[in-house]
Amino acid sequence: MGYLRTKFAAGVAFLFTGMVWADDFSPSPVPILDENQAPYKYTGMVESDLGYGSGSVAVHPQLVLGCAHVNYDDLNYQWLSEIRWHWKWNGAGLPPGGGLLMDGQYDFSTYGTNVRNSRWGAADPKSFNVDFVVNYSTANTAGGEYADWIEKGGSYLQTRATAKFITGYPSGRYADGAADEFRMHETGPFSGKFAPEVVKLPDYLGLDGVETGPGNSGGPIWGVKDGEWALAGVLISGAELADEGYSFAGVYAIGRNAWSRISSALGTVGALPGQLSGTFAIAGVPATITDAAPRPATITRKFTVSGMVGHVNTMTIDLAINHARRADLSVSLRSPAGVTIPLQLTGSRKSSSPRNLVFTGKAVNGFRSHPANGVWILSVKDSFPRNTGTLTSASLAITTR
Amino acid sequence: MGFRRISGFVAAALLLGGLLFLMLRLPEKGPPVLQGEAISGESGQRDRGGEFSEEDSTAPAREAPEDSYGSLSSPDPGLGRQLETLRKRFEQKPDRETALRLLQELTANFLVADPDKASATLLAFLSSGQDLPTGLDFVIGEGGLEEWPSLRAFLLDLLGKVDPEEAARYARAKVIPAKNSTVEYAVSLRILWNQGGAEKPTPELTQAWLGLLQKPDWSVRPGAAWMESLDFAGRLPAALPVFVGAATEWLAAPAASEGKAEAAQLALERSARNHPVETMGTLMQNPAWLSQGRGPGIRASLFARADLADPKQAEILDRYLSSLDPGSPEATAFSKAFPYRKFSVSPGLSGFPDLQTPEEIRTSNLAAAEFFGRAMAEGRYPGLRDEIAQIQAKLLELNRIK
Repeated sequence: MGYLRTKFAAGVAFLFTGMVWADDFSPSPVPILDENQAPYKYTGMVESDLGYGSGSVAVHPQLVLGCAHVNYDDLNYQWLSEIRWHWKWNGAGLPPGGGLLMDGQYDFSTYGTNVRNSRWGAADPKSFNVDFVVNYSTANTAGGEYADWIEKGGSYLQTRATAKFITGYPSGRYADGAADEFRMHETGPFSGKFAPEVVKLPDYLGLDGVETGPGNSGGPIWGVKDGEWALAGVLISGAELADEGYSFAGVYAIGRNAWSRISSALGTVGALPGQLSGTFAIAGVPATITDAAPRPATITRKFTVSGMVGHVNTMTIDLAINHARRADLSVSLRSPAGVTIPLQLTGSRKSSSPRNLVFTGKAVNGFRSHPANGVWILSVKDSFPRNTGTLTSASLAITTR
Repeated sequence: MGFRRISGFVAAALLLGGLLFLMLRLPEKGPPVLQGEAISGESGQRDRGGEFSEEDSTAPAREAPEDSYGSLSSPDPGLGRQLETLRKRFEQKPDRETALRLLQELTANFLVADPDKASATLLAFLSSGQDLPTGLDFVIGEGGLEEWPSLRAFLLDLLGKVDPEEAARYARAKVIPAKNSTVEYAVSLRILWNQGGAEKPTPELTQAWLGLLQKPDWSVRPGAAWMESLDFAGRLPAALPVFVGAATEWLAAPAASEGKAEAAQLALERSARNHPVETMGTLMQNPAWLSQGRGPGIRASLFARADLADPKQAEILDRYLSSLDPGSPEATAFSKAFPYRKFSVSPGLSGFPDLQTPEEIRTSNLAAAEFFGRAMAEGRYPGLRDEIAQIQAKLLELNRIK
């Protein structure tokens, strides 16, 4: 099996002809005790109940990022549930049992990607996600030592920035029992430019010329943010065929999508930057609600929501409309994703009157788990002739998770 | 040892796949498109020099009958010209980046136009029967559909954003009964789901979804749109018996399933999260369901998701464990999986999965420890004592470290 995999990897080497070769960097052990320094101290090893393992990185009290294939039993086609995290392991041999038993994992499988992979002949069930996984625990994963992120990790990796390196556990480079077999390793620093055009998977980038070694996948790739090392991506694939002059590193780049998904997956307040609640006023009010003569008339106004992390948890709206006949009106809210939900014009505040329709803190249901940031559009439609009115004010209060 | 799992093969699979993908999908190059030449417009600007003026609309105010479709307004000439320009652009088979840009520009212009006029214009175009391939895939992203393989699918999806009611009427009257296109059908399912508030399944949607599932020529070699539609399996508990029956076949012979086995696994996972009682209850109705091939392992993982803080789920799990054959691979799979908390967080046609919060996980773990402790004390499931001991050890560890 290992032989076939090796040859298969060699068969795609020609893909990289024409690409700029990076300086050739191979992993080297991190000196003992240096694992307590940044950014090594955010790196660790995950191990499944099948004995498979790889690098990983702590980014949050409850989250450890890594590669999905260590979490998958590809003989029995099952996702594994017993995953243990060994924080900043840098010793001879495997960790002696223990580790933190993770509660579960978030992966990024989709139905459609699976179809495409099957047709390519790459019908490996686990490959229908991007081979990136978030292991999570309700406990504290790394004692307050959590890596910072480069929010546009994909852009960073596609530049020829001189400072990039990978930390991980390339045990496959060593003979069984070798002293450095399970030591933490560093690859780099190197200045190569990762390229997105080889594989059309979201946020997947590749670079030729970096030797990684089996077992190194799942390890973080670091770049510089504000003068400090910060996470730019996670190594999810690689090959080392020095005798054939071929080496490769493939990473899942940290980007806005990953950030948003992970924030949403977390489901609680943590050490993530950005807002988890906010109130946003509507633009362009007061606005005249045109009469439905000779035909129904609709006005639209925008809420621009920005700076939120994660997805919608709760949403309420404050709304004030002056109109002579509320039965003429229908009001709806459209999300940035394009989902429109009608707002019921019942249950208005006691101070409301037929001419003064006021809602305060009215719950808007149906948008839970939708992305929060973007333009939300309020529509007020007048369907019957003879009366006009005014949209006086509106604001949207959102909490995310 | 486990660290022999070489990641190179993953790269190879991905890269070779990518190459084949590119070879199969390299678009023909059309003439270069100048920035802003085609469907240009200023996003967020409603007034564009009279192009979107309301003077062309003459239809009186009236209510549309529920069983028909048709805008209350008239198509807008300016918006109509944009659609015609778009159609001509796609006749020239633009490259992927250009295609995406053209569609994004048109979307921006229609979303800020008068909704009634935009709706009427889109309906007029859809009713004309015109269509062209876009050269894109069927892709769902954080903000909804991000790629549409045909122009009509794109415009139908856009109609769903501009005027959900009219889009639903059109879907009901034209797309669902005709069953001409899996892509338009998938978009229509999404429209119907969103129109219902994206929360509660309706008999109409259930029937429509079963119509897709049970159309043989669509399911033999399904495309991405058909496959993405399996997301509704996790939202429509009334359709579960039919779906589980189909999934049983796919999981029994995955290699012949054209990827449906993996998709079914994902759909069942979401069903077990969204409707755990209905999902487990359905599986208990027929022991033959998920009993072959990968089925038993999947079935074990679905029951291993049971939240035992919920008495209904605890009751069904009790029946499952009582029926489980001691020493069977499924019993082993269950004990290895429980408590199983693997979730796919990717967006689907029906929206985003709802995930367990850390507090829910803690409560569930404590309830599970109590459930299995009581079972051991009472001597329940006597053939599964080793498996239960393994589960108890895990729960003890999870509950202790919190």
